[in-house]
Amino acid sequence: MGVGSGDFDEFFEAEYGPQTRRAYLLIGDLDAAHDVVAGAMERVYGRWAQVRDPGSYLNRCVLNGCRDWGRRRSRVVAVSSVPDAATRSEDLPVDLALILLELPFRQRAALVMRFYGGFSERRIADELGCRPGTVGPLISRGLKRLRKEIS
Amino acid sequence: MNPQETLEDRLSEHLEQRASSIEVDRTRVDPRLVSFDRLGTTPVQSDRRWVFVAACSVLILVGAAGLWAIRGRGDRDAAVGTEDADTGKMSVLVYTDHKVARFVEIWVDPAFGPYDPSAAMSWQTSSGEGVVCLEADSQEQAQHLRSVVDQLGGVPRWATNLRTIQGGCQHEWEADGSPKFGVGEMGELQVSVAPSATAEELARIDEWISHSPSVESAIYFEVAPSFQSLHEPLQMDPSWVVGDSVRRGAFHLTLRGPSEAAPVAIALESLSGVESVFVNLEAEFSFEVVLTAEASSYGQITDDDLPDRTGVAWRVEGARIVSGSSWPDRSLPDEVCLEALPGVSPEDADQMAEAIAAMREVASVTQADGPCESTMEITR
Repeated sequence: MGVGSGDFDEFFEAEYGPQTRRAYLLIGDLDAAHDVVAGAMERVYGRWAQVRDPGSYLNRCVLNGCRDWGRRRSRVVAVSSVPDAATRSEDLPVDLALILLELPFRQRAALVMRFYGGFSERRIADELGCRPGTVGPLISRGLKRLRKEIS
Repeated sequence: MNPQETLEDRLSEHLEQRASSIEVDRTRVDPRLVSFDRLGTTPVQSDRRWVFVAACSVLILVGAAGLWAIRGRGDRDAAVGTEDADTGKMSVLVYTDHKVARFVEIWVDPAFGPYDPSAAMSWQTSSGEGVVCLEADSQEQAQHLRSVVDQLGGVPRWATNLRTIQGGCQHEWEADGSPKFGVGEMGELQVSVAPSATAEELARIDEWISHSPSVESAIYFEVAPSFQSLHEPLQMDPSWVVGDSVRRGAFHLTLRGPSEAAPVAIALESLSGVESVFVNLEAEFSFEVVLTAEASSYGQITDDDLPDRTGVAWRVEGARIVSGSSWPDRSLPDEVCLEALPGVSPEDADQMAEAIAAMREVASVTQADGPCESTMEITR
């Protein structure tokens, strides 16, 4: 892996937008998503010469950042931001992305990577640090909970 | 919505729309990153780099000293309970502002009867907010524990004052090397390297891991020594992975088979330079269960039942109970997780921890931060 700042510039340009969007879907807060991705970029830059696969490393950093952010944050916000069932109507369709925020982090991350990023199960497993066989159940449980919420 | 459209399609479309609706602001990147990017491009900025490195070094040293001091304080407190050290073990982990404030271990012989609440007071800190962990040493105790938790529903103060109780890690072995309480079933280990380990010792550990037929993979962490004794593997940030060589800190092994856990742990413990080894319960298999008030017995919970029960909340005066079942037979929980609604004060969480720790059925109490969802996972 090259260490030139030019390489990092290209990497930054290519990754910053998609990673911020993904982080936003994971945590539902654009400000925090920016912060998480910026922090992750710092880490990547700091290890630019050592990291063999900066893309994967960045993914992991962003995921961890989102998870940490979720821990620190009061859960009140996430719950209160979900539209109440009584207010849902044809005019106000259920916001799946908000309901998603109520899921356990790994389920949420697996769903976002699968249905937004289009990642394979193998890649999701790599990103989450689990076995590929775990990804299927995570996605399945997440979808089941989504269905339940929608119904 | 098109009736033919599946939830998967709808979710995919919805996420895409939502993601594309935001405007990514690149000017909001942390200025430090910008300065990183410029470092080294000119001699002047190169000097700034060294200033930055020096400043970081000072910060790291101060942080490490602080953590070491905190650990020392915990060690002193641990002496409180060691008078009764025999078979039972109690641990307390308190976080303040998401940093470890104190780690205390107390060993108590359950045969001595109920814990003395005054003794509990002596080690309980007052600054913790977050998670409390109950861990039973046996199925029998787990059964007691369950009845204790049931009673919590009748003690609204406890229930409402509690934020979370979550599972910890069992990491003990019998004298003959056999696993104690199901340790042999776990397939992951967390190993800590002593801060004093020499380069030769590190190399030996690395070599041992590399050549062990039992070890499938290893992840190395760079962590502060004070973090090594935590019962909270998730606190170690995997983005610290360095991958190539053993560093002072901890590393995480995934074993080829769960039954390898005990012998591998014992072998590792015998290596000089290894400070501690414990089984990592935070792993592959999410086992979060939320029970209904009508759930008459934890003993009925099986893998097959879980999908139908998950998500059904047992509301107890503002708290919900989340429980994991014990491996391998999953007939009874060895840990019970309670999570209160938001707004519980740190003081109230402490009071709850004190009360629970004083119970005879409770083998250990761990207070930390973070939701259950990230810790109630058991290796399949």
